[in-house]
Amino acid sequence: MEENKNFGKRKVIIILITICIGVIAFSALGMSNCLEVKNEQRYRISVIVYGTNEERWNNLKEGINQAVSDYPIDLNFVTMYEDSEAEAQELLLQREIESGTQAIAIASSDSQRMEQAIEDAKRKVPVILLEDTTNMGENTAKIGPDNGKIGEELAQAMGKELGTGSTIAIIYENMERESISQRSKELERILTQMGNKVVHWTRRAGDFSPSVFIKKSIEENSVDAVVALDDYNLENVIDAVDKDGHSVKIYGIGNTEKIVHYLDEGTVDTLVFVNEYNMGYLSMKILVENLRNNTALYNQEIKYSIVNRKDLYNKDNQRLLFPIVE
Amino acid sequence: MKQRIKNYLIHFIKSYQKKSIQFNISISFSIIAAICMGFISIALYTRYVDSTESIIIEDNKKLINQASMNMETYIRSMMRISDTMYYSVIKNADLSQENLNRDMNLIYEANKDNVISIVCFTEQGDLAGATPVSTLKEDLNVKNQEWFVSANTTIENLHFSTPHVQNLFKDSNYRYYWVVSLSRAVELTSAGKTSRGVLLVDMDYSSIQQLFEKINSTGVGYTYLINRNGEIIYHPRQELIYSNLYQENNLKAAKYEDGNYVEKFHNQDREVIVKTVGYTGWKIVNVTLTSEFSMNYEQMRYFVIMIAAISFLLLICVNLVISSIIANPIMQLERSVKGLENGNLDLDIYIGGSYEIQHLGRTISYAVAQMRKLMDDMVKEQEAKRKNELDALQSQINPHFLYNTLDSIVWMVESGRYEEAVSMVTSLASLFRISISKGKNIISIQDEVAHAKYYLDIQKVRYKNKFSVEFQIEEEIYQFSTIKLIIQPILENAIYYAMESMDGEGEICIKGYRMKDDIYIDIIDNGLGMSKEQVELLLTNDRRVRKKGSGIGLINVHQRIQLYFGKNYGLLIESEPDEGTIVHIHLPQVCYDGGK
Repeated sequence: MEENKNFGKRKVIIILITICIGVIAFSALGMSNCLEVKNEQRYRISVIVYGTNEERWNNLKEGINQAVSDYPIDLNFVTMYEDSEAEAQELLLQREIESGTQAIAIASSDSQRMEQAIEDAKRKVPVILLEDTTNMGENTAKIGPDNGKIGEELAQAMGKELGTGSTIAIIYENMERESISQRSKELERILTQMGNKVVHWTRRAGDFSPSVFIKKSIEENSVDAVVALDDYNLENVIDAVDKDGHSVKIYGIGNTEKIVHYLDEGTVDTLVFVNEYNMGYLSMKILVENLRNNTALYNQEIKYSIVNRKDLYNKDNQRLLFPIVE
Repeated sequence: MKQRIKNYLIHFIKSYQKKSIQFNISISFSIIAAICMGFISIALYTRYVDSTESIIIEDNKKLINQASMNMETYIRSMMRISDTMYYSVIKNADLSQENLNRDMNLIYEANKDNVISIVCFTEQGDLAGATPVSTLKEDLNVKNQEWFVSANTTIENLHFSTPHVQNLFKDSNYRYYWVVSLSRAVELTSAGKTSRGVLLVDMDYSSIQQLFEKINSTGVGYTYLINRNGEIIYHPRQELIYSNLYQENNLKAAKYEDGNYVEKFHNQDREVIVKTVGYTGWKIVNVTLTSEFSMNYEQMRYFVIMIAAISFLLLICVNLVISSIIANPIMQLERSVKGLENGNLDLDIYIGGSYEIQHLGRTISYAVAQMRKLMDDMVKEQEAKRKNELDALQSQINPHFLYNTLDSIVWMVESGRYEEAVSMVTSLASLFRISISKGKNIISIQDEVAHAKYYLDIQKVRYKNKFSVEFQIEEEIYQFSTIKLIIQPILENAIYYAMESMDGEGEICIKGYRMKDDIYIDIIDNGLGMSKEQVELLLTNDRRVRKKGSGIGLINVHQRIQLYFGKNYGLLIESEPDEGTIVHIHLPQVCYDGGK
């Protein structure tokens, strides 16, 4: 009789345990449905660029936006309030880290002055440098074109058009950016090698606005060509020569809509443009891979092209210079 | 190895056989349930996979059919614009006298959502008319542009270009338009002379882009558009393709006829559906990666596993209940049989459970009842046999007693003591008469007491009055029954063991009385008495060799009383060394009815 009772109790316990397991299983099933939406972790990434002109970064942003749609990224794209202020950019960098960003892509406004701030940031979050492939911080991942090569190839293209013995002015601004200083260095070296005279036009504090300064410089100095090594300065050169017509040839590096338009119009003779779409997309890809798989950050070289008015509309150039926007 | 497997199998079967029936049923059912659940789950999952794949493919087919229809409608409307422009405006106009712009503008205004511009060029590349009115770029050479070349190559056809940036007009706002150019060769009339020209309708690329973005926002996989050479017109990752960050199998897709294809591209299996758009030869291509199917399956797989696991648990639960319903009665019956094995024949045999078990229980119960009856009969038979043996033994008279008695009688006759001899012979005759009692075993207490008196009379002569005898029998007990010859063996023991050495001082007292509805007859002597151990042996050890007496031990008397009247009755002996012995005969109060 006692044995029967024990047997019955055991049976009840087994049934209860089975029901409990069933309930847990159903809960797990329910949970899995809930988790289905949440299971992919999202990464908060900040992109800090120099300059106040957001349009200048349109191509980069297109690439970043494509990456945002391909990868689980919550993006914070930050431009500066003032041009070329290293302190301001340093503060932005700190603010982003404090606000909990998980990775940073930064186009540094002043390579040397930002070096320490970037080193500090790297200890907290992965950092990749945009536009820069120089030696600054050997251990820092960089994504950008070979700036020395850009300068070299631009010089060679100019040489073909100008021949030798020309006087060429380089807008010697923003040299604190390693990318521009590298471009300038190689450009000047090759142009000099070709037998050209190179002059530097540097606007001093208290001078006129950049475009007026350039206009005055063109009027006061007899030069055959003017070269600007970034979008900002190239646009200033365009503004300087636009209204009154010009006799100097203009060369430059950049790819804003305005620059491309003036290349199309013939104001700019030859243009070097970097595939910033790729730079934006790949920088995000590298950071996400690092965050997701803990893989090491790596350097990535970005391609660039030389374009003039004649080949602006060839298939490859128009695809890169005219983003498809609805 | 074979032998090892065989050994394992044998070991498994043996251990399986050793387990309880409930365990075996539960395990067997559970294993079968698990196998069935496994098969069902696999079948369901496979069916789900097949049907999901075919549903997705069917959905995608519908989607690209719809896309194809939309594209054809769009293309037709563009062609209609071109046709209207050509047949209603250009053909009827003399360019030397009238400007095309006004009529062009009307058509443009009606379709400006989808059209960027409508332009007509002469064969030399000069502008014949354009809407919206704009300034042509300086140094523009349209004759090199692809749409112009195509129109002049096959003049009878309409030509659709791949997407490109419009390169015709100045725009001070730095605006550039991605367009798909629809061009055709036209006949221009100027001052009565006809010449060839090219009519260009630049379709807004964003209309195609929007159409495909809408398609790509639904369904599984993605859809892209290529021309007949495989050049991409629209792709959801177009910029990535242009930047060489993504590759598409578009050149191969251009060779596909309409239908479904399975292909492998960059180590990925893909399901491809191709549909050609009318008038243009463009192809809409839908691509679904096989891994995208399996992404949907992963959740289903988990779901099926969970359902199978839960069902399996529930089945285990049901199995336990069913197996206990089946096995419990068998186990209870088995417990009953175990009880029988332990010799407990009075146990109630379990009858319950299914019909078969009930039948088994009833049969065992019947068999046990039969066994119990047979055993009772056997016991009764044995008891009767024992009674007869004891009775037969009791009936025997010690030959020594008879010999001595007869010797005493001879001695009395020889010495002339005839009266005493007569008295002794009479006593002996009476003794035998009661001993025989016409073969009855049950006699009245009165006869039994008389038998004892006759016996004592003879013994007193033989022992020359070495002891005295006193009878204190309550007369009311004479009427009750007793089995015969129960006092005499006790007296015999008292005389042989107690009185022989007493030399005239021995006393034997026989008391008969009723107490608590029972009868007691006590034989009290003042002999040597016995130790407790000796007393205990008297009623337990029937193999004891008696040195004296008739050979009928007290134990025989005790057993006979118990055989006739039950275990509650019999002898009780009290004795103290040097004090004497009391033997209580305990009998039930049964009235004597003449031995019937």
